[in-house]
Amino acid sequence: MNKAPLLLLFFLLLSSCSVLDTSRIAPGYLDAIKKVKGYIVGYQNDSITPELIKSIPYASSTLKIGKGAPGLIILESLNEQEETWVSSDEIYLVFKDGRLVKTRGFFNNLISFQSSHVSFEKLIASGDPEPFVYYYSYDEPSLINMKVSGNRRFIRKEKVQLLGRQVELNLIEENFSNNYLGWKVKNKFWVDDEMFVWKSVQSISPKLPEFYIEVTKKPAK
Amino acid sequence: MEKRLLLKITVFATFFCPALFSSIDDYFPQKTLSSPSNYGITGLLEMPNAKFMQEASLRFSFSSSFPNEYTTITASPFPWLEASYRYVEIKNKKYGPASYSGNQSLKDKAFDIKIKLINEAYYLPNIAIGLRDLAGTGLLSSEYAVATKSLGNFDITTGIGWGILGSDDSIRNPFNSLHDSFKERTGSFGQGGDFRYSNWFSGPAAIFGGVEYNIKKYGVKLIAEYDSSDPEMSPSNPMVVKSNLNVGLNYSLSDSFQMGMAFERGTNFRLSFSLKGNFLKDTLPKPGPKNVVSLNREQKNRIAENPSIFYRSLNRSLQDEQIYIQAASLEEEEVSVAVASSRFQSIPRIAGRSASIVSALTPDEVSKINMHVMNGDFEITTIVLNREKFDGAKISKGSAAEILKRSKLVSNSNTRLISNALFNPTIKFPDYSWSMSPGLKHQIGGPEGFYLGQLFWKIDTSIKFRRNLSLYTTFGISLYDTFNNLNNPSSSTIPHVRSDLQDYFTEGKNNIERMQLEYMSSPIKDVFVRADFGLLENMFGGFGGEILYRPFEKRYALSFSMHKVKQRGYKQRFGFRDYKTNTGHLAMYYDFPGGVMVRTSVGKYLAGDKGGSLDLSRRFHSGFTLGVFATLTDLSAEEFGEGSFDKGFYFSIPTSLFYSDFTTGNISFGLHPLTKDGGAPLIQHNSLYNILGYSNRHAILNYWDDILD
Repeated sequence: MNKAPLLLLFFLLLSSCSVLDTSRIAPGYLDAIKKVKGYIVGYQNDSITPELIKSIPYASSTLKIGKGAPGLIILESLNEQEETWVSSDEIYLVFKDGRLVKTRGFFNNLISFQSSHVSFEKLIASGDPEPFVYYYSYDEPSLINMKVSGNRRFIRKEKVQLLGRQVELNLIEENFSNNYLGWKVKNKFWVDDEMFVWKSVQSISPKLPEFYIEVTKKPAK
Repeated sequence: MEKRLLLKITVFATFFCPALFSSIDDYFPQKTLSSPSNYGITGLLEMPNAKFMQEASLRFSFSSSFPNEYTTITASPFPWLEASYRYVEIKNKKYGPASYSGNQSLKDKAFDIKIKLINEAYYLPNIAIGLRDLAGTGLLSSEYAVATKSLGNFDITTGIGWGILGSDDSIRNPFNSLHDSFKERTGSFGQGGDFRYSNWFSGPAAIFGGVEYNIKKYGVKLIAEYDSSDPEMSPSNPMVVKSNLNVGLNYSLSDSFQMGMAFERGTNFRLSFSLKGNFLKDTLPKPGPKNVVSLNREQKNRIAENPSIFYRSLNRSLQDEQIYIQAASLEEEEVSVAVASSRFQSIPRIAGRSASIVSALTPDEVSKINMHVMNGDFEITTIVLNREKFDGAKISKGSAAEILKRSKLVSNSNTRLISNALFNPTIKFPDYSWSMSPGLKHQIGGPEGFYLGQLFWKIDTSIKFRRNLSLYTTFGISLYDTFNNLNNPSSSTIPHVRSDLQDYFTEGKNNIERMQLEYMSSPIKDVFVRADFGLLENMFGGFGGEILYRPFEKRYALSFSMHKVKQRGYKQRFGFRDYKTNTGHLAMYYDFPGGVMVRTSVGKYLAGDKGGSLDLSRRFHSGFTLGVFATLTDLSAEEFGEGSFDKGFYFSIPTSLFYSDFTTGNISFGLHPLTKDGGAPLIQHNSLYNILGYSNRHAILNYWDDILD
């Protein structure tokens, strides 16, 4: 039996990553291995540290889409109504009161969101579920005013870890669906007592996975 | 009057053009539009329908019941064409005597096509014709004409079938009145491989039909069909038929993955699944160009006085984009830069990203940017850009089309910039490089087992002695294999140039696949030559060369190759066997609009047979390519053996379609149903057309919009 291949495999397995020159492995394979690993065990966001956030002179948040790797988004502009955030690969996200109302740069973008005014304060005070109707509009493929309906309610106060610090926030959940499509999702918002949304999990389109957003540096109003 | 007519047409078009309507149905989590039949091509269960996959789709499907199990790969090179290649496992038949194939069940190969004749409209259904098992042994040969109409959530199908699909014999063959030859269908199957035109649409005919009901919300499709095939009457493998009604359910887990189950003929259950990909467009967003900050006037003045600052800065900035400078010349009013990149497939993208950086660094007096794009040591094209137009378009004051209007695309292949530039980066020769990756070798559908394969570690090295002269070596180291089960030596009566494959597999598990010294040059404009020597491929070594004439402005190219070769030893080290021959081909390539490419060649093949090959392929804008090929030589069908003549198909998917960055690799798959000695050409790893073929003016203009991306 020829032992050469077994020996080679043995040495490759013994070698630590620093010894094996991974730059010599076709990039496609490495990318695939990273993707599969990320898909199974998830991505680490070790690179986003409090020091890094501190060093950036802008308001910032982390954004994770579905099972993708988390990344940093920076506040690009701010007006009375809306905040526009941008990622390094030029994905634009527009938030209104912590809710994602517009996107640009995805293969399917939310171009308009219509709803009645949402008062988290009232919701927390009453503790009762509140019914609502939202209208979503998208570009590719074009769809105007897709109606979803559901209810939202204050769940409880929760201790949440935000980039190494623990804070107590109010958890609000929205359950809504579009019966024709069978699209049924849950949005979660963690808000402080000033009704600022620090953390959220939001679904905005049947074609896009969930968005996980955590504010790492709050915008100065 | 004319105005009113125009208005009417506009109103009509606005309200009735389906493209203008957006539908909430596009937002269902899964699409239930088309699903494969048991045979792989889009259809009901056993019966076909007139639905098609979206063009540029590829589907792998598996469907299992007793006694027939189907494993199929189906492609749609056009929206009106589906073609599939299938293995059928017939579980109640043996492959051969136990001494030859052990306990293995019989495997049959089949090739099917379906062509759309009429597109569905408000009143009209989709209408298609199709042929099943058109070049196989004929065990499942059928022809059909079929119509499918969508009515809400229902798809209604009806059709007429011949061959196996006509065995119900429920109607008179409508072609009988055209010619007497349609009345009879011969049952002789032979060894397969040739097209039995005389049998097509002849013999008994039968009506079939079915209904599909789509429950879109859940991605579920319910299917019921009347099955006109009557396997109870099959002369080769009769089956019990209690009912002609088959029912099934198909569930789409996503747009790509479907599962199905069915109850057929009142006796058998069937389970199936399919995996589909559409490669028409690159749907993954890719990184935009890096931010380029333009130098200020003072810095630019310094560059004008000392161009070496420019060359150094340019080199550094281009490397950020993985573009490598090969040469540059900064002159008073123009700048010329030769670049190469293994990151981008699109030539305009290489030129555009480089030109942005060049423009940011050059003095304002420079009005012309000449981008010389290289592949290997060949200069493919020079794109002469008007700087003002280019810079304007980069800040949305213009478009790619306006840049093109003021640009020139030329070929200066024999007067490369690297030969007369003011700046050439220092390259130390010999220049070594290497890479490695896992690899697979396999034999599918043989008598010893359906799949025998080897996982190996592939190491590619190259030593560049000087520009144009390189030594390429590929080593293979076996990690795991099942080739020891191979037990079917070649019985070919002509020189065993390919059919000793099993000996190469078993003895050459750790091999030198290739060790090839290669020289390339372009002595005359648009003429490229390549000379090579060494272990040219895993079965042959020798020497020879190739010459390619690729007129830049034209859609055609011509090539001639000639090699003197000797067959390599089975171990694939440095030993040779006795067989030697001369082989060569004259080839013509034509690149039709719509990405259709044709390659025809004539010449002498490795076994000494003479003949011609035809290769038809379609390349989509994404780079995804689907192709078929066939070779006919002066060998008789008996000399060639099973299959009658060489044929096969291939596809190639750019790896960048799966990643969120640009890459230039491809995932390629090619299949010869049978490895035969007839019509076998020498494998040429760096064929000139592969390097330069898709780089003429027309090809570059196909991707011109990338100049701003």
